[in-house]
Amino acid sequence: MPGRVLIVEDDDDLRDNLALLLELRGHKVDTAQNGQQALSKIGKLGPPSLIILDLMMPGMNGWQLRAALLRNPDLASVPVVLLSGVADVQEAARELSAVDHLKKPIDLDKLYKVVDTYC
Amino acid sequence: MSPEITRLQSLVRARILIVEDELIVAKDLQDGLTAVGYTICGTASTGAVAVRRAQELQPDLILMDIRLRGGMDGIEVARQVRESADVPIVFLTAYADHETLERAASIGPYAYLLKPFDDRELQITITMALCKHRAFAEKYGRLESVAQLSLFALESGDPKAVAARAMEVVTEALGVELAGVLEEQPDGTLALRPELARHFSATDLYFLGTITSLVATTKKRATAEAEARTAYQTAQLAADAVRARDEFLSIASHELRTPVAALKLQIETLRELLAPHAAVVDDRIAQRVERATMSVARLARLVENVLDISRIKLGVLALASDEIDLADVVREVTSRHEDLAKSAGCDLRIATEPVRGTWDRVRIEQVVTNLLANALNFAAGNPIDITVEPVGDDAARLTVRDHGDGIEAHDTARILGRYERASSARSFGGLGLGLYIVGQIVEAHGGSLEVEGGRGVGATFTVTIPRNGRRSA
Repeated sequence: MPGRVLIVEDDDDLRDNLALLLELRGHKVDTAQNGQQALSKIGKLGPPSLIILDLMMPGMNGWQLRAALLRNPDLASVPVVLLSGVADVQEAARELSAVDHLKKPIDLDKLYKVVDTYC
Repeated sequence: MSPEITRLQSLVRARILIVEDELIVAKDLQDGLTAVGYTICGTASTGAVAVRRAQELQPDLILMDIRLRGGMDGIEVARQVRESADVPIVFLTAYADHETLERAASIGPYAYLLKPFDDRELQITITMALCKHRAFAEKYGRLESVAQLSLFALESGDPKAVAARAMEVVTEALGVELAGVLEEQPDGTLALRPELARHFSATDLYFLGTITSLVATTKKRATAEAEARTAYQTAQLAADAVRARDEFLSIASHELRTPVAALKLQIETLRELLAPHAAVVDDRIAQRVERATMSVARLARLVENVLDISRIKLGVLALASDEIDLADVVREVTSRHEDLAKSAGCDLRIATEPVRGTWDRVRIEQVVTNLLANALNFAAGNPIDITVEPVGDDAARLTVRDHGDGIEAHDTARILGRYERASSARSFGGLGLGLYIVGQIVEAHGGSLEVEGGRGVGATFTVTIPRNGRRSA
């Protein structure tokens, strides 16, 4: 049974299409527009198999959400993939202990590979 | 009347103070000197009175007997007087023992006259002492004016103010109305009117020369400083403009990333949604979707390149090196470009030998991608040869050879420059940033990028990088 992916991204087009593309490949996908929404989704649905996380978002941003996840023993081990346009996304991924990073504009092959690995 | 005669007359009119404790001798001196035109402004018979009189009367010269009654002799009086006033002193004495002479000499007297002397001797001695003193005072005064003018020139630096001050100094030093003696030169400096040169002594001419060269130097310095300031400001403005542009590029390309990513996913979603219906979907729709996919890929690459340029420009192209195989990278990148190559009508002919080295994988991928994209853009419809091989034990060589129009010889050097493209801007798209970025990445790895090929023979890009991938110090 495929695992669930949680996409946390504030851009509506990007989030919806990302969700649809992953769904078309048979993944179960939940979405959130920012950190708070992500936490309440996780609260309701339980920990996902993978979180695809944008960094710059209004409200609770990616760095803050990642910090909140790491503080919670039930959520600290959920793999996180960064999805960002920041120049040093690779370094951010290392700092935030993300399993991988996707640089905008997204390399789809890499996206599918990462999601297939964890879900 | 010549200035020399005027000076001699003023010497005769000099005011003299007589210090002599023998009243008869004092009276005798006074009469003799008055007779030849000197003014005796006062007499003193003791040291204390002499010091006071000298301060009150400000005489032009003091005749000083060395042996005086009271606690102070003439030499001591002279010492005290000279502390507050630069007045010439002529010592008069009947004694000339070694010790007295030495003490007198330490005061710096202008003359030393041994009694007895006649009126003529006294007159000549006084005149010489006054002349000597005046010449000394004049030289000293001029030296001081030059020093002060130099200081003023240093502090103000304003050539106009310095020229005006120089005029004043000259007028004061030469004692005549001299505003017309110096004339302004076409370059704005001051010089003596040539026809007037014969009226001045060598010393005066030297003094004038010093002053005018000071004015000229100030002028030159002010001009040089103004030029340097302008150049500096221009450079600052240019640097600011470049920085502003690079910051703008950096911000703009960051901002573009998210919408470009969204667009890319939109099209990808369309493709995926159409795929199951390929049989019934109008070919033209499917084609449009394919073209849109390529367009968005190109757009994404452009955004990436613009960002790279701004990062390179801001000096933050850091390498994250690992041990990798260049041949692996080339095979991976070319396989990603197979579809693009097919639609461009290019056959990719690859010949690689494994070459391992310590390089930044992402950056090396970018080198291969940009060179390949360049070949696909400029040589569509022709095969592209890509080779990887070791160079000795220490380096790797990557060549990408296309069979397009080639590059004119004169274009090969500048094609690697920023934003340069050999083709005219109208015939090909793209910002031309790719090759520049390749150059920068290769350089950051301590390697070199060469390009060759004349018109009609295609272009060959050769990258050589050391295996340790470090920029040589």
